[in-house]
Amino acid sequence: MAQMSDKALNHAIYLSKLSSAEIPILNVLEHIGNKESSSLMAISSGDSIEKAKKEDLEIAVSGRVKQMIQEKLKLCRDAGVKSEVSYKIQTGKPVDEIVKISEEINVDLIVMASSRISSSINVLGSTTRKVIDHAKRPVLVIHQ
Amino acid sequence: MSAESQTASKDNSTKPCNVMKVVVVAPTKTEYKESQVQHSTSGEENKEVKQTTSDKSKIAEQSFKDLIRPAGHKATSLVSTIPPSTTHSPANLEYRRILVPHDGSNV
Repeated sequence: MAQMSDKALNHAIYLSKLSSAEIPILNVLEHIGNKESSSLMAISSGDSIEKAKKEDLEIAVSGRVKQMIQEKLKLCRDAGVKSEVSYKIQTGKPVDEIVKISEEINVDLIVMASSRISSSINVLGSTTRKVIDHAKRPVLVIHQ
Repeated sequence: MSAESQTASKDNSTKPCNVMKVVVVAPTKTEYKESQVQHSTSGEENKEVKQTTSDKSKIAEQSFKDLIRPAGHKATSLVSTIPPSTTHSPANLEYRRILVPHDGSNV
């Protein structure tokens, strides 16, 4: 699943290099404690994560989480992305958060990975499908 | 003068002349010039005629080209006549922010 997300990220990197677009990477975690929504944001600038702004933090940024964020930011930098890359961890319902944040930060495109979206089983629970239905922004779906 | 000679002279005047006289009249200078001018003017007329015919042929050629241009140069003329668009058309799409919802399953 993570490999699929990386596929989507690779497409975003390609488009970003063409148009110098910023890449906000969003990771939505569904259930963290009793809070409905919380977030952590890291912005890439240089070789390490420059700052991690605590807004309503429920997640301890350490170990594998920190390593994953650094990996994604490094992947973007190594691919030659010169514009800003940020990584945001958000808690809540994935579809709601993706749609809400796409409006909040005024994105021009949402690039999402998806398994076979035409499959009747996957359609029922597909986050990508629901984002397509609800988002007002263009959605680029990267299939497996 | 005798009477015979008088009658002879009278006969000469009434008799048809069998001798043909050829008179060569040299044209005067003015007449020659005029003829030259006439000749030259006729040359100019010829030139004018030639010019008019060449003009006509050019016009005909142009009209013929106009006729065949829309079919023959349709694609190129379309490309060359499209002015550079300054409005934000779909062709000028620019991504400023691309959101990538990332799966956190490896966390």
